[in-house]
Amino acid sequence: MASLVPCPHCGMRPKEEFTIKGAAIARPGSHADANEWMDYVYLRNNPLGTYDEYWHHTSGCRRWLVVTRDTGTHEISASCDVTVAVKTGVAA
Amino acid sequence: MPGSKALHGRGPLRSPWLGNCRVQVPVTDAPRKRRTQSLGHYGVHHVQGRNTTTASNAVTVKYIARLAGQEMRKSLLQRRSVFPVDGEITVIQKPGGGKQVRTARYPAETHPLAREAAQNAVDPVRLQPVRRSAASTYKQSVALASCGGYCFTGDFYPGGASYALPVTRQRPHIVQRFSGEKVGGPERFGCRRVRHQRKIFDKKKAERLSYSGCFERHGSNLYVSVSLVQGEFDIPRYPFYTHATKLADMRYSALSIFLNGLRGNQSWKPAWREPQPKSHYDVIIVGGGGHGLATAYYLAKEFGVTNVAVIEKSYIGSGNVGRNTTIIRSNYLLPGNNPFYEYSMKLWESLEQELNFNAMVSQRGVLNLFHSDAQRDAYTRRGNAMLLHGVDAELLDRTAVRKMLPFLDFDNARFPIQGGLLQRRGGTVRHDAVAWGYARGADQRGVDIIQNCEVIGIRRDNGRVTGVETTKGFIRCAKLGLAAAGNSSRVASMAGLKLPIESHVLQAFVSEGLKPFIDGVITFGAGHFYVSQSDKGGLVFGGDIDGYNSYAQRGNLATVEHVAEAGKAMIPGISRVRVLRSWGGIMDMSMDGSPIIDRTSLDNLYLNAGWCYGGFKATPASGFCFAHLLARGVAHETARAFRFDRFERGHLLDEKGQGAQANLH
Ligand SMILES: Cc1cc2nc3c(=O)[nH]c(=O)nc-3n(C[C@H](O)[C@H](O)[C@H](O)COP(=O)(O)OP(=O)(O)OC[C@H]3O[C@@H](n4cnc5c(N)ncnc54)[C@H](O)[C@@H]3O)c2cc1C
Ligand SMILES: [Zn+2]
Repeated sequence: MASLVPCPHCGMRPKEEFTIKGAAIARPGSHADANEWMDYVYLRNNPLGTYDEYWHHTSGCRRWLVVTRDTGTHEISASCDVTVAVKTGVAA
Repeated sequence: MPGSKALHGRGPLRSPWLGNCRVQVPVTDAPRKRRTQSLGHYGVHHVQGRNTTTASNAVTVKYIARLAGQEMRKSLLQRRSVFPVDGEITVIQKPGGGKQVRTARYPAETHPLAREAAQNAVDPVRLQPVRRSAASTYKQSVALASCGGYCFTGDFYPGGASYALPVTRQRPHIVQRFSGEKVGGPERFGCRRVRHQRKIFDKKKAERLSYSGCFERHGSNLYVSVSLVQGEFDIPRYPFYTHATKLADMRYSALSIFLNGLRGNQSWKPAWREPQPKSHYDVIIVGGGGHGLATAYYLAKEFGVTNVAVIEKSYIGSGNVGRNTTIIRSNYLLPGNNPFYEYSMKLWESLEQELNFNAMVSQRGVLNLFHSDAQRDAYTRRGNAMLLHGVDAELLDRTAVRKMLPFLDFDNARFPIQGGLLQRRGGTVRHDAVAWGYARGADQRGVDIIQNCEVIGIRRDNGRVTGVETTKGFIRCAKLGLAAAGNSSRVASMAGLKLPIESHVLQAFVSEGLKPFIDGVITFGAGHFYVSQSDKGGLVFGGDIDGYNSYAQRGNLATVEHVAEAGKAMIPGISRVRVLRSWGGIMDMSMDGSPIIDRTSLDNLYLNAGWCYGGFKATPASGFCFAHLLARGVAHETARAFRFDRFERGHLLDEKGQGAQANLH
């Protein structure tokens, strides 16, 4: 990752326009038990390698994105709007 | 001299009676053998007509002192004497004024064996076959004991410190050993020191004593050393004497600098060994950062566990311990945190003496600026919490801060400086020296520090860890401790654990050297910036984490810009200062901003992680508490809140009140 992050709506934008939420993991359903919630709220795989993250284009289009990035090299391989990600099963 | 029962020798160590109790030797080590325990050594050397206590005495006394713990050490420091009686410890007060103190000396000639040795001392080769069997009667052994350590022949050293000079450089030549059983008449086994002769064993108990000793040759001097031995115990891999000599050689002091200077600094030895891994350890610690090394050190020193390995994938100090901005403080708000960090601060305060290593611990003060009424209230609350925990805290108003640091931007339109919370005992420590000091201390106590060896798997069997797969092969262990900081999640995943941790990058910066103008550490309350000035003059500063998961040990330019802006907002005068270098470190950001020191779901797997950007200041206490947990199986009292299951139980330790968002802590 240089200092530029690709936004599907706005193109390459400086990193400081974004707010980072973290791991793009699926929110448990309404009937999920405590273990599932524990896992969702607190536990992280935290891998070295490819990682899907929620980024918010705060100072731009204000859309939530799912950015696919390598945590070892910082290289971004993909970024899409969160609704697209949900549809394609990347995040929920 | 493996297998020796005796504690012999002589070195440059100061007499323990004079308060130097820092010489330590592991009492247990592998390979363990049942041996006889030496309860005391009473060889006393005469130098120029004076008695000086031997190195081995120092060692023994230290051992005894450790048995009795702090209490004993204190009494040693008060220049009282300590003697073991039948495994128990008795403290004998210095004889009071009215008491008749004998200063009798037993010249070598009083004993035929000693005389023979003395005559032969000129020629060590001829001394070798001295066949005289050990003194086996009461009288003979008394004579031996009484002339223990007597300097028979040769030159006297001119007193004072200089006697250390020739002796430390030589291993003594052990001329002859002797040993015997059932020595009676214990009242004469006196330990003679500068002016006192003491009784050390009462009659009844001493009937059961056996003894051993040897003649030693140091250069042209011959000594007799006698130890009293009794009972069974685990002896160290290295006999005490060898260890004592090694310690003497390795002790850093103004004198050692001077002496090494005379030898062209050619004879400094490496501060730790580079061992190959053994096949089994009682405890393996993954991660040779500050925490892992401190853990190993305290395991060996405080908890007597010396069959320990620290496994480091790179070189020690290559992780966060050598990358942080060196700030130490204990200005925490929460009751679960504060006593722990204060304990750490106390350990910092005595660390350099303890380790005999200059870590440049500098309590130059840490000042947190506040810029609004709300922030002042929050800092007042924090200061009060600190005071309630017995930690020093001062609330400074604007005038007081201005007096200290006139160059800050007090009248900034958006963030005027209203005052600050000052902890004077906070400050900075040279970070890599902390790793080196602990490494050296641990190594001296028998810990293997294995560098360039990465843990790549954790083998398990029936809910227990059996060992670790490494790039140097499989190593078995009875207990496994993880202290891998930024890599905690990856290492824990090898054991099937998923942690409440994200790894993030934090950057640090050093500017060109400037004349001294910042005494302490200042943190900006209106942005992410903290700064101190190193002894070389460079500003050492940093800000917030970059905010995205990373294992890259380098950060983003956007953060550099942000830190520079914040710094300039706080100290306008630094706008033209050039940054010389910057780097990043990978931190284990936990979900509530506080660490974990706890057991895990695997029976013998222990976890030390979640230190965020503040684990350097915790290094001594973290090591101590983790060692406590590993050795005793229960949490140290100051680390009870750092439980692994607190997230599930809802007992979060969220100092900042940010919630489960790792990059906001
Ligand atoms: C830029 C920066 C500034 C900081 N500033 C401060 C500060 O001012 N004050 C403060 O209190 N704290 C500060 N910290 C935090 C502090 O440095 C860390 O919390 C602390 O050093 C972590 O503990 P450690 O020393 O054991 O970590 P490390 O030194 O990172 O030790 C972990 C070790 O584990 C090794 N390892 C990892 N995986 C494996 C494996 N698989 N096999 C073998 N070995 C492995 C690593 O190589 C590493 O050496 C800062 C951190 C950074 C990055
Ligand atoms: Zn956008």
